[in-house]
Amino acid sequence: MWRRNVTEGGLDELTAAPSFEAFYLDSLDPVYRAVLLATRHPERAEDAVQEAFARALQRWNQVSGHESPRAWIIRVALNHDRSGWPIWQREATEPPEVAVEDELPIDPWLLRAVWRLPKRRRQVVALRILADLSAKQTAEAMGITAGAVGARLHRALGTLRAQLGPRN
Amino acid sequence: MNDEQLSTDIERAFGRYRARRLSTDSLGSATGKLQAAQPSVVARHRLVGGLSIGGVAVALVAASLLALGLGPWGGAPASAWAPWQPTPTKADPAAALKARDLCPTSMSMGGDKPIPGWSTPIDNLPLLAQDQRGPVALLLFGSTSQGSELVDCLVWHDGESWTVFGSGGQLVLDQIPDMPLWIMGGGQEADAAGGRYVTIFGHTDASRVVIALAGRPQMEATVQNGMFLAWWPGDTQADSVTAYAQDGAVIATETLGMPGHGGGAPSAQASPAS
Repeated sequence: MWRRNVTEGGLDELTAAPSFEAFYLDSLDPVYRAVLLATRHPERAEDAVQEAFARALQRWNQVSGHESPRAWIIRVALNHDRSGWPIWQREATEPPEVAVEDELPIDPWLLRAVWRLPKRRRQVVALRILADLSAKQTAEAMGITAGAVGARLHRALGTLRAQLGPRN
Repeated sequence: MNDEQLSTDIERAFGRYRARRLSTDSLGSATGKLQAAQPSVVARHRLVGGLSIGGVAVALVAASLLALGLGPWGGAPASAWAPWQPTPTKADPAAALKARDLCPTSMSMGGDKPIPGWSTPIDNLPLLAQDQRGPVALLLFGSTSQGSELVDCLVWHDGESWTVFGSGGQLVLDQIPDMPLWIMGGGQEADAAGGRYVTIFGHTDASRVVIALAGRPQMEATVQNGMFLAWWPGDTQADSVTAYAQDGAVIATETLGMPGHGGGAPSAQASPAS
């Protein structure tokens, strides 16, 4: 729970703030990765995610009671991404390059194959795998049934396996 | 490789991506802006224009009309898009009622009535404009007052049931500049089935607003309550938006140019006609 003391120069008084902070620290990267994959635009994803967390902080007493605050955040981020960016900013066709240290080697083909999945399958992978949402939460976020989530995830993984098959 | 192993590998592959961590104070500052009814971080992108760039009152979001060319009618259900016409038809009051029920659900988690991240339930927002074309209506809720929240949503009545194609989301309205024509929002949208459509809305002092679409006949926007509003199926680019006074004189034109293939700023111009 937190409350904002607006009568004293806008100074924030955050009581029990660690609960939000813990949530923020725990969820920021998974949420960002999911929104990044869903939008395929690093800058948009970053902006949308920070915006969503800002809104969550604003009403943390409500959001913390949500069945899945992480799902709430992702939904807000995706809503705002849709509304906030002009469409001339095309999606990136390749996953962004980032400098990484101390990382176990990964298969760049897998990263690229996931990045290039059809939108709806990519979204399911983003929400189910990267954000670790349940099938029900993913279904609610995407406006489809839990069964459809399972089917799309199955197809997505099947597609990836088919593409990567010779490499494994 | 089984599903579990593949999922683990995907998770690991994307583990390289990390978001910039802000302090709680920084996030709190952002929420402070929201509480003060200023445009949100994202809404600022949408509303950027004369308000924030030295008097050049052109919303960059004008370029949200620059739909990227695929099929002329996208994957839209033909039964919904077929009756579309370039001139608005009589508004169906039932569409507004249904939109209040259905649109928040389409945007929220678990059918919660309030839109996540937004403070005003759609029930509390007046209907600002409705662009009806046959059985499909684009609705805009909110007001033209500074700080008003705006929500747009497209609904279809097939004769028996209602379908929400989706919403462009919400934005907080900053001060409307003293211009006869100001594009505020819109963009290319897609429904769950992959059907595509383009929306546009904004402020106008005109009595008539005409939109020129690339390679297609021009179309009339709905003008209502100081706003103009229009939608069309597919993802055809809008070439220009022209505002007309009651006597037929052109009072403003915004020319929308497709940016370079690599993206970049649009060549939108807002200029009172001479």
